[in-house]
Amino acid sequence: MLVLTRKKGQSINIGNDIRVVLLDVTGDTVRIGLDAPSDVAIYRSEIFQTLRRENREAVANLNAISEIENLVKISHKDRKS
Amino acid sequence: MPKDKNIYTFTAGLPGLPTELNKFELVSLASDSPFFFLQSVQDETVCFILVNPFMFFTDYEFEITNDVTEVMDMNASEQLAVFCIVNAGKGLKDATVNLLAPVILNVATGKARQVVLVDKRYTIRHPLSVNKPPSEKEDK
Repeated sequence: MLVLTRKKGQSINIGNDIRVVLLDVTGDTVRIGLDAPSDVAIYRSEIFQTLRRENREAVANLNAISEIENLVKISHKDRKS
Repeated sequence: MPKDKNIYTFTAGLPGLPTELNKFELVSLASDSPFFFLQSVQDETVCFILVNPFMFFTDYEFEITNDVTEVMDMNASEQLAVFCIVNAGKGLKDATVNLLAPVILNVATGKARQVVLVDKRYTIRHPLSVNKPPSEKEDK
């Protein structure tokens, strides 16, 4: 891992179009500003792992799809009658 | 930029999926249903169940930060549609909803993004009680 020392207000460029700015340091909390193109996703690391796993698990299987389709059919019929 | 009917592009992809799977069709099941499918255009085996969160969680709310409006070219909130992903891997009875990371669609441009809220009230697996018919809440 590349390690750099920066002061408040200084920044780092990653590639051509990503910039990381060190906005503020208070105690052990650091505020960071990020400029990146819209096709670069930025997430806090701890939630990113959980979100990746959850999305993979949420890809619907055929059972779940037909359960939803049935539910919609039933409630549609109920409201008509 | 005009968009294809109901096709949305996740310009930054969806976490956990291969980055090339970024185009999805929003399929509505019935005009009065809170459920939708988000079907991958590139891989027919990849489909998410979406729910209109406001029909199940009437006090669901969040603020969309500037960085999100910027990357999605949004000027007005009328352009927005908000959905949450349902995890029904163990059947609909035990289904959960991801209220922490809603999917935001820009209906005008076709851009989409899954955002992570900073809000302790919402979790990634909120129980979804399908038995409570959402129609009861439609009167409001």
